[in-house]
Amino acid sequence: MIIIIFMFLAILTSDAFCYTEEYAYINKNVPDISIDSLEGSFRLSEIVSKKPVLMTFIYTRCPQACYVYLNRLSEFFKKREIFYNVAVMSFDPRDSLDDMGKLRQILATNWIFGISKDIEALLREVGFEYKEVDGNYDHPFLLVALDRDLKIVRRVKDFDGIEIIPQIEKDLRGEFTPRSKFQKGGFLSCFRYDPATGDLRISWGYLLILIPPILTSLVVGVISVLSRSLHG
Amino acid sequence: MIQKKNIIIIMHKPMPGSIVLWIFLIVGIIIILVFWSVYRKSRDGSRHISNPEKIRLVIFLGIALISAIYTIFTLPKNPYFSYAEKLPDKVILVEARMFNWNLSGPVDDIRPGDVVEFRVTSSDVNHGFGLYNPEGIIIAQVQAMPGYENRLRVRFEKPGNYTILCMEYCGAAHSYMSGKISVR
Amino acid sequence: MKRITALWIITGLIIFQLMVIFGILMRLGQAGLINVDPLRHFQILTLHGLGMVGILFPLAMAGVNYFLTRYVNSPLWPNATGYLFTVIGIVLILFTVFIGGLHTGWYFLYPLPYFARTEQWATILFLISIAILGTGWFIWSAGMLGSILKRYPLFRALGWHHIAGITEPNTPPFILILTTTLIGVITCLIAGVALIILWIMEIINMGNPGWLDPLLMKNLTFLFGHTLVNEMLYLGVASVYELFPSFADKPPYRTKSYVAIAWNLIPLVVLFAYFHHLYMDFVQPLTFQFIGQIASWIAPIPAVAVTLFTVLNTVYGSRVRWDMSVSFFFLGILFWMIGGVGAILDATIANNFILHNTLWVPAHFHTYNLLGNVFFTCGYISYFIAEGGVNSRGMSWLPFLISIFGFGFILMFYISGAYSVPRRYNFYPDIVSTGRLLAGWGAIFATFVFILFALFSVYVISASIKILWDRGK
Repeated sequence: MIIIIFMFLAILTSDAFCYTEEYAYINKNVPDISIDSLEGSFRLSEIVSKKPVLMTFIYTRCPQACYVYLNRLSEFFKKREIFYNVAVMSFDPRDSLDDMGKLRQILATNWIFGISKDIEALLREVGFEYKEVDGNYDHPFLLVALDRDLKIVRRVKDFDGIEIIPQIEKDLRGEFTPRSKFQKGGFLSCFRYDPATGDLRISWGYLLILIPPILTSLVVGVISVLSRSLHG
Repeated sequence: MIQKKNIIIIMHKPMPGSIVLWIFLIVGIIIILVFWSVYRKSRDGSRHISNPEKIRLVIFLGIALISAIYTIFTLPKNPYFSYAEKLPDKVILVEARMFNWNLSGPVDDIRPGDVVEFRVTSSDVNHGFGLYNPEGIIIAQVQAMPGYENRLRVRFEKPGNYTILCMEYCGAAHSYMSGKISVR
Repeated sequence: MKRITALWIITGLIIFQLMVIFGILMRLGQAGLINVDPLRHFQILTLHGLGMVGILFPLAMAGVNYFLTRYVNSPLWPNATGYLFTVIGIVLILFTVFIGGLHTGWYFLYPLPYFARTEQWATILFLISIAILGTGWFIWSAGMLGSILKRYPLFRALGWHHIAGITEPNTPPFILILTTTLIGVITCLIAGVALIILWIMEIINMGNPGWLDPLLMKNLTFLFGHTLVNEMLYLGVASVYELFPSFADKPPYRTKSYVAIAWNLIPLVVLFAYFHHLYMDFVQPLTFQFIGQIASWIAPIPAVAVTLFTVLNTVYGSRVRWDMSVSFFFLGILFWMIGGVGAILDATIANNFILHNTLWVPAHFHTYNLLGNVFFTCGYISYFIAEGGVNSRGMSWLPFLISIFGFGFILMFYISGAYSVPRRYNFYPDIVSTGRLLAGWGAIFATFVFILFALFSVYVISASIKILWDRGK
């Protein structure tokens, strides 16, 4: 019966190890590219010297995915106090400042929307790869946190990356958290990641270490009853 | 006879490990003396303790008190909060894999006095990140567990070459898994 | 019962000696005096750890099972089952280690066996052999517990009426300690079952390896392993309570309320103490770490105030016949205490930060396994053959000599640990070259220990064979 319970738990869990490709990028410096934004032209170092920057890369002709991603991002930021700049950069050379202006209207945020002629150099350093498929681009969603020295502090990928923002904020502040987790939480995992605080919360997996004591009480109870009844 | 010299160096320096060793030896000798004196009084059958329950209570309370004091003093000295209040000077990423330490970050650019944050993980099995000072004494350690990132902050006091050894058995070449960090 | 106990003693001592040889080989290899292939070294390491616990635990069980006959109808067939399963399990382990090349350490810490250079079948066979050992011991523990509970209802066996202040009928301390210890043993065996089930599921799930949480697996591994070796020691302590009064010509101990409280508390606290194995996993929740340190420090307080003081009070000023048995027990308690000091120092988070997985760890557990648990076992063995008519009055020097050399052997571990020599190394790199010299000395001391134990074994085994043979006729 125990085996069946465990089998059931097994079906509920399916995690794969997710190793840290991020480690290859952290601490690397990015090139100080020049950016044309809706607020005017400046160098990247000028913005990061005021505030750290969280940067993401999209293209405006994207049929859907980029917009969904940016919407999720803006939804997430609404609930948070932001002490850094958010920069949305286009990696598509066809995009103009007008396109970025339209994008800002759709999203209605005070982020930095920019294009750059040196964008390829930046993309190389942060490991952003894309390929063209029928006029559209196949690309990952990347969130890169830069500190005041133009150094990569964190680099997270895809929609799950949005949830890690609270942790990224802690890293930007230099706040010490002795632990973090790469794996997504399954049913049998020890921790659940809490996207609101960026902390790990104890999850169901830990309850498994309570099973031995509980089963023991049962076993002892059964032995007790059995031996008394055999005696009587 | 490098080994002998090494032992002498360590014996004279107040390393945390040797403090623990001295505590152990002193308490151990006290226990042995107690047993020895009891043994000496076990042949003639002439004596007995008049009020054993009172002595037992005293022993119980005494040991409980010593334990409580020791716990209160040592509990806050844990690596989970060390140097937590300020920004680390450097961040070094440590990825352990059989049988290598992949370090990325300013590994050769650490100055004496720097607080360095190590973010330690593993890409295969459990490893242990053990940081040895130039004298060969461990100054900090943390486990490298796949799927998790353990963070450790260390302050490098002295210049020199620091060695990383593996502290969790990870397979046949476990003993040969080492890395280097230089502080200058 | 006499015959099966004699059989246990013969088998147990032979396997124990074999494992001691493996231990000496490892120390010699670490000293650089002989050349051992790394893979071979770690196979021996695995075997030494598993084999020692695999034989010393049932040997301790056999002892308490023998003394249990004084109180109840001690179970015979669970004992025989335990014997059969233990022998099969150890043979299978030998097979997996030397033919399958298993070298993952006793704790087969997830996910090491997947990455180690071990045959897949060896991992599976290894899990099966652990399961066989576990099943055998489970049946045995349950059988003993059943026979105790047949005579003493559960609350009386646990001495709860003493806690409530009722003195009669008195539960013998032996029964009390044995009951709580057996319950603890059952707990960790169930943890072992959970561990093995998770492993088997992982193996079935091979297409998608790595879905188990390594942190959970580590918790379960140490809940199983740490608690089991801890409880093993308490089996020996039960015999101490049983035999010591008779050594000093005093009436048997009676359970007082504090004894009942202490022995109800200890197995509970010990369950939480294993957290100290995960101090250096910063991912483990902070509360668990602190509970780990506090539990590790609470556990020895009743042991000292109750057991140690009771024994010393019994010996002090009485007329003790210092034969081999009582010497073994007396020195065993001494080293149990000393090992305990080493253990709680390491179980302090601040110390663990520099001592974790150094040779300090083998130092403390060798203190109370080799000089504690093995001494308790040798104590009851000597008592057993003395009951069979072999007098050992003139041999009390043997335990004393073993402890001197044994302590020398162990001290090398402690010094290495304090000087940061890591454990489970087959070769000490230059940065920790201190370890080589100390390993050499360790090997020398251990060789003396081996020779002395060999003397003891020859003496005891010949007597045991006589007992086995006498009853056989």
